[in-house]
Amino acid sequence: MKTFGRIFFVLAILFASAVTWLNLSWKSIEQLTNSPSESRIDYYLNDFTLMKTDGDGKVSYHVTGQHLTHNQGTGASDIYQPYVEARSDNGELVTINAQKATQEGKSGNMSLSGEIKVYKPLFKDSPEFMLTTQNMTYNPTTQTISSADDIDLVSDQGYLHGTGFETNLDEQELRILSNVQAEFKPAQ
Amino acid sequence: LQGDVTKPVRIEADTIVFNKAKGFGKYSGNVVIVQGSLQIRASEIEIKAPNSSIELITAKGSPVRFQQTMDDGKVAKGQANLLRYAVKEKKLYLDGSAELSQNNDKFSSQHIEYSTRTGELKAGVAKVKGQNTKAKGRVSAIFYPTNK
Repeated sequence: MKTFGRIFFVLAILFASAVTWLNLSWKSIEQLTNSPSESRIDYYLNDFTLMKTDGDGKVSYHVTGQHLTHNQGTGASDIYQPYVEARSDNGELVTINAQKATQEGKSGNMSLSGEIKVYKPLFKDSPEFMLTTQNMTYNPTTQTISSADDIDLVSDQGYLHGTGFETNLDEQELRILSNVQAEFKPAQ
Repeated sequence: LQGDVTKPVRIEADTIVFNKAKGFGKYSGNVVIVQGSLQIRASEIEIKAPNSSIELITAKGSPVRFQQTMDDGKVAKGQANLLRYAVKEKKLYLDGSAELSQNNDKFSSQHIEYSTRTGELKAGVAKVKGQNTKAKGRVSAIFYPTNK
């Protein structure tokens, strides 16, 4: 009777470990099946440039970067060390650098993060300026840039610091939402 | 002070809106502007600068307060509910419980105009084109004799 008990005990352990192993391996196999999943990357670019052109072929903005990963499930792209050049309707150029950008699927909204620099060179009578912050959302379609973080804006007229901003490149309007401190050179 | 205009302009506020196309900048909420000895405190200051050159500065507050040290060392102070500075004309307009004082001398009226170019000061009811202004409020002035 004892021997039978022992055999039954060993069989039970073997059966339990077989079921556990099957469970674990099934989970990893599942990831290989072709159904779109939240985290799967379906293509990857290295040292790339992406351009968006209008109907008449004019480049409205272009993005270059070190790496781009595209997510199959969400259609979102992550871009590392992005550099964006955007031209508004009147031809005014704005460039944007960051450590990382995430383009949220087809809608095109781009969230930028890490040492962001927005630079606008002198254009006709519109002064040159450099704006720096840590996080920012850029909507290339409506040409709006916004952030909830501290920002610093430096131009040859002086500097301006604040927290949170919204700007529309076409309307040329910049709103700084709180904690504003500015210093401007005296008028000549 | 004469040298104030050569000093940088420092501004603090809760929020700012700049609109290049419409040519204005509006500072709102606890606005403090300092340039040399000149200090202005207001709840809102709007700067009209079409073509990037400042034409009109409008300050609102309850009241707007400002002060500046004169070349003779005396401190001139002023307050009003509405302060407008027309840059080209170099004219300051104070409206609503307006007061100007220097040491103990004090000048108050509903409307005061002061030319920073000529030093001319007018007080009383503002004669505004197209508006019939009912006489309202008196001008009061207090000057302390200087004992020589």
